[in-house]
Amino acid sequence: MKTFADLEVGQRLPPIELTVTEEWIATDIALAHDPNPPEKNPDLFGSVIAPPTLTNADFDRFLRANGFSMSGVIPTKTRQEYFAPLHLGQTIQTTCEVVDKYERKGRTYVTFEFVTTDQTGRVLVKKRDTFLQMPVEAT
Amino acid sequence: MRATVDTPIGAPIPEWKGIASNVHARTDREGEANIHDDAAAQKLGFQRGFVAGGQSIAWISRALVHYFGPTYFQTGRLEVTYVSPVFDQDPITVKGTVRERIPEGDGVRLVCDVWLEREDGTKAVVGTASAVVRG
Repeated sequence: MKTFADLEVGQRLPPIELTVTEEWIATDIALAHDPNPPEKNPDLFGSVIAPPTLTNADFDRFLRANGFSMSGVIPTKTRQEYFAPLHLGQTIQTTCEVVDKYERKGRTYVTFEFVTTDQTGRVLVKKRDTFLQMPVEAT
Repeated sequence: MRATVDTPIGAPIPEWKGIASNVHARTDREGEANIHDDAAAQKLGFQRGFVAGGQSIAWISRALVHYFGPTYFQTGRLEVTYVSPVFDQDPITVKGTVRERIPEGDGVRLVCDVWLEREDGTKAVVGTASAVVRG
């Protein structure tokens, strides 16, 4: 299994295409136990939409898909920008690029940039997530 | 109370309360040190398995979605740092206050300090959030 030590700044992992499903939306909303989520009101944007946090697990999806160990991976910060809602049934594509990497106290920190677009290429969500990976021998 | 173009600096964001649940503790990934599992987290020096950061962000987003309304899906920004773990069954509260008003287009971007704290007041996630509100 690969670890964060195998990642390089500028490296791009293959894009992932997904469809926004009812189950995915429901699972994400359930995380925060919202009894009255506005996302389910079709009057707001013409259809049911996804929470802005829907793609929060992008890092997990990309790393697992590319043979990386998730052992000891801990999030340290995130920066997210939302440009348009993700609609139920919509096909989205997300890219992933390593934009920063550094060592601190024996731990490897990596910042990934994720950009999610619709099928026309319009940007819907842009995120920069930083994680550390504890030394593998400690895990 | 929802954000408006007239919301002043210092105005609080309505609190969002809940009980954290460690839904990411799982045993189906053999050999993986999953920080959400007690045993693996303790090997890494933590008290016990902790709740996924994504769940903390989901809590914070609930507060912001309700506070800003539809504009949050189109103009929202969130930048936070995880400063301490949240554990299973921790009562948590999301809080925030408006700290800056920045004209943007035909509206005003309200920039807020936001944080998620545990029952004892320890902050677990801190940062800023903003969105553009219009008249």
